[in-house]
Amino acid sequence: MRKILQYGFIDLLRSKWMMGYGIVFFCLTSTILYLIGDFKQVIISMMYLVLYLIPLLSVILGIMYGYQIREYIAWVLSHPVSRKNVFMGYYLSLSLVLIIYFLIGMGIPFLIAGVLHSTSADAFAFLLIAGIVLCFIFSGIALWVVFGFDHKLLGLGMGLLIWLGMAVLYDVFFLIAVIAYQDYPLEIFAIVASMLNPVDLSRILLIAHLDLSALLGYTGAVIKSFFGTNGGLIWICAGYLIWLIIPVWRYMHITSKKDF
Amino acid sequence: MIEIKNLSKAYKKRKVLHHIDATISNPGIYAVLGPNGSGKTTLMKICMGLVLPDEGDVYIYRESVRASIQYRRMVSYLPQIARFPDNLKVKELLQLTEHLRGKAQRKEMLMELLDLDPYMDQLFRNLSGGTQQKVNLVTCLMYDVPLYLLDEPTAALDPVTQIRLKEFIQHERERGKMVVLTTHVPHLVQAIADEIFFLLYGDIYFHGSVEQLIGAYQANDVEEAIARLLMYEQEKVKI
Amino acid sequence: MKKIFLFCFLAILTIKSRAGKIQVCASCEVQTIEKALQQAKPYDTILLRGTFRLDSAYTITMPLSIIGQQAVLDGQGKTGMWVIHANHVLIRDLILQHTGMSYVEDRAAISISKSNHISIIDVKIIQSFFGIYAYQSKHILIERNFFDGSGSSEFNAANGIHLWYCDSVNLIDNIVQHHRDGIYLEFTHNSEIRNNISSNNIRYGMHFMFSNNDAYIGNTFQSNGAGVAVMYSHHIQMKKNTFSRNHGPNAYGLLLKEIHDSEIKQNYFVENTVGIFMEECTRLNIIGNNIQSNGWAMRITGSSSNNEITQNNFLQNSFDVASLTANVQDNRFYENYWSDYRGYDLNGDNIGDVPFHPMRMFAYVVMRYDISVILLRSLLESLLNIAESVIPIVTPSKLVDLAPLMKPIQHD
Repeated sequence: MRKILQYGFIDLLRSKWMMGYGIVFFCLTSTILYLIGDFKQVIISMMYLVLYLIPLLSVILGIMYGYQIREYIAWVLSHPVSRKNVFMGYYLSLSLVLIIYFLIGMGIPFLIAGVLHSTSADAFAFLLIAGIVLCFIFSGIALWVVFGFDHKLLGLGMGLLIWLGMAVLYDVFFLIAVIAYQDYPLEIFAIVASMLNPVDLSRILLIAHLDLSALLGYTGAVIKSFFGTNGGLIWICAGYLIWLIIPVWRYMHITSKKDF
Repeated sequence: MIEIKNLSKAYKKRKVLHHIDATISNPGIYAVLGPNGSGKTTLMKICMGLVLPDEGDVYIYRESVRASIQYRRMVSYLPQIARFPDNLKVKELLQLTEHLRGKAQRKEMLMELLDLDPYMDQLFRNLSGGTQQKVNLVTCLMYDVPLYLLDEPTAALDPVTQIRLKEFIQHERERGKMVVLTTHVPHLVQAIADEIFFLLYGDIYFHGSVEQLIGAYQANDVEEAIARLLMYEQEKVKI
Repeated sequence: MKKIFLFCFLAILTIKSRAGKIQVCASCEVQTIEKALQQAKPYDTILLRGTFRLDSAYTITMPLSIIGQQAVLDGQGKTGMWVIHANHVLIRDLILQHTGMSYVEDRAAISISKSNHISIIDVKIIQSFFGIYAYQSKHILIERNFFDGSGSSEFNAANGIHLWYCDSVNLIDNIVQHHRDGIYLEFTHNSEIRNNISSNNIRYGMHFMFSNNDAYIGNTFQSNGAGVAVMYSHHIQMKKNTFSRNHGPNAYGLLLKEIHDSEIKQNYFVENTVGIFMEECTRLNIIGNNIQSNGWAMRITGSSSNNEITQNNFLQNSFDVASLTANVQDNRFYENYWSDYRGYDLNGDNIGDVPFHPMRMFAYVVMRYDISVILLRSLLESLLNIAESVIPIVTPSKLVDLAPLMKPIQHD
């Protein structure tokens, strides 16, 4: 697995698409830093990139990479290596390269601007953590899709649909439910619902730790009291863990049974 | 040594292999023939654990291909379509191969034979299909193993390389190796094959030497024999 | 005007204090405060040194100056310290502590009842129920005092400075914390509250009712349970105050209820749940404020009308303005700077050519369905806002800044 990871990593690191992904992050972060300046506000703006752009690009780039892997996977598997190791190696190399370009693209401008010596260092750390976890989750989803759908276009469409579902449609249904059941106490529902979607979960994590929730009245207080505490952090980790495991587990399961 | 026991495989509803039994135990060159979709490639992939059989099993040097991966140290497989990671160099791919299955015995020799040395530091995304196929050959043949499974080895090769490859394969036979290959090129079969397995309708339709095949269909060469075989079958279907 | 009055008042006190001095300490001729009070004649000065344990409060019935020289009065959890029932009293440089709490009396470190011309200066009041409780009194100066109530809930805490039916009160440079309401005014007119810091109080930093013609200027209200509430009053001036970090389930920087003819100028509202909450307010001038990083910058409810909101900076608030009532046309927003404004300015006069609608669709959704605030900063929020700005359906179209500024106003 280490060798598959190592060479997969080298391969991907040189990919122009991945470099483009890093450059996009670098440019956007630098621009926002330059235009806004105040770290807290920059981090609030960066939330959108981390919450929505990372899943989108992770899925798209992951799916494109996945279909490339499929072209030579037979060659790899004909060697004395187990499927489990090969596929885990490719998953890790994809996630790690996405993470590295994300860290470079977003981290360097922030570090140059001196975020570590500001009061926003904590918030910045949470932003990085959320980004890293989302890279892991969505590269898992991407590979799951790649090996679940034999046609590249179909897979790409599916990936976009999953992204759209998690980024927007899920919230739409949530809002409809809130409107439909407005007469009932919905706090528990809201908390559970936002834990079941990794994008929402990350958003709530960031809101709870960017001191935004404190400003949101009663519901904000509920969010803060649930997610802003150490106990809440455990729940968030649990929610993340589910989303880290399910796609990878499905991907590993599919590839263990698939003909190449 | 390959033992195929009661092997079946279907993709969706299309049966590709249907209760096949066969054994190859002597050195020699074995050609697996058959029309498109007859299961040649599937058979090879099952041998390498790439395709999982529905029923039955294949034993390579007494190891089940379903259960084990260690037998692959004794087998070299040449996949039909050569594609490699776009952003790796040829050199790095060979390193990866050696990490996966150990030091290769004749890497330099083959690199020279196939004129690949100038491409060592190039990325695959900049290589032509023919060159990629040559690298494919190298990663397969650089290991001195008792069994080679070659899927369409001459496809996408220039004539010079085809000849060199043919000579290489014959040389391996003389060294007591087993070479199983699929091909669409009858001349190649006639030139080097010791035994032929002809796959049709998911079954081994014919098994025998080149001479037996030509004799059975009163043909002048393998090409004609195959053509007659297929025409005969079509007639049968019409009736 | 008030300053001149104060100066004369203090000057008179100083002159009078020469009349007689009574020193109280453990080794002095007079060893107890009771004795000193018995001996004292009007306009005498009583100087206190050392620690005094009290079993009941001392009542001052004649003009006196009580001045501490490192003196501590300890109520031992049983009693307040001073009950002032006379005019022209000065209390200065004392530490008053441990009044204990009481549900039967309004126990205060210093009670002022029906007395005029009272000064409380440089007094430290620690662990008290009420700090200063004044009623039906006039011309009171409360300056440079420190109040720490150490209260933990609304039930075991009372107000730091409590004024009821008073007039012409000056509260200057006090620090009030850990009380129920830091500063409480009811039926108290013509008063000035300047440069105080009221923080970490359980309920309001300042609570202000039925009190007219007052000014509060340069105060800081920070991290109070529910912020500052100003209710049922008119002709109030609120200038250069800072309202910050008043956040919680039901908190405001500034809650205005039935206020009219008042001015809110050059204040700084930062990180409050709601910057300014207006309910049935009329003829307010809200000018030149910085309203930054609040949950809601402004919430306007009820029939607030004829208010002017101009020259303010609305910076990075989660929601700028929220109002569920359609009747907002009488509230004029103009020439404010909105950090969310994305318009352009072709003629370069620093006034955007496109009007700004400060109430977004998502703000409306959140007001209707509180729990949906959990969707804050989601893509859906942006999509709803974009959709609404293209086809306005639910947000009041007349809630609009017709002349939004392109650049924030530099306030000092």
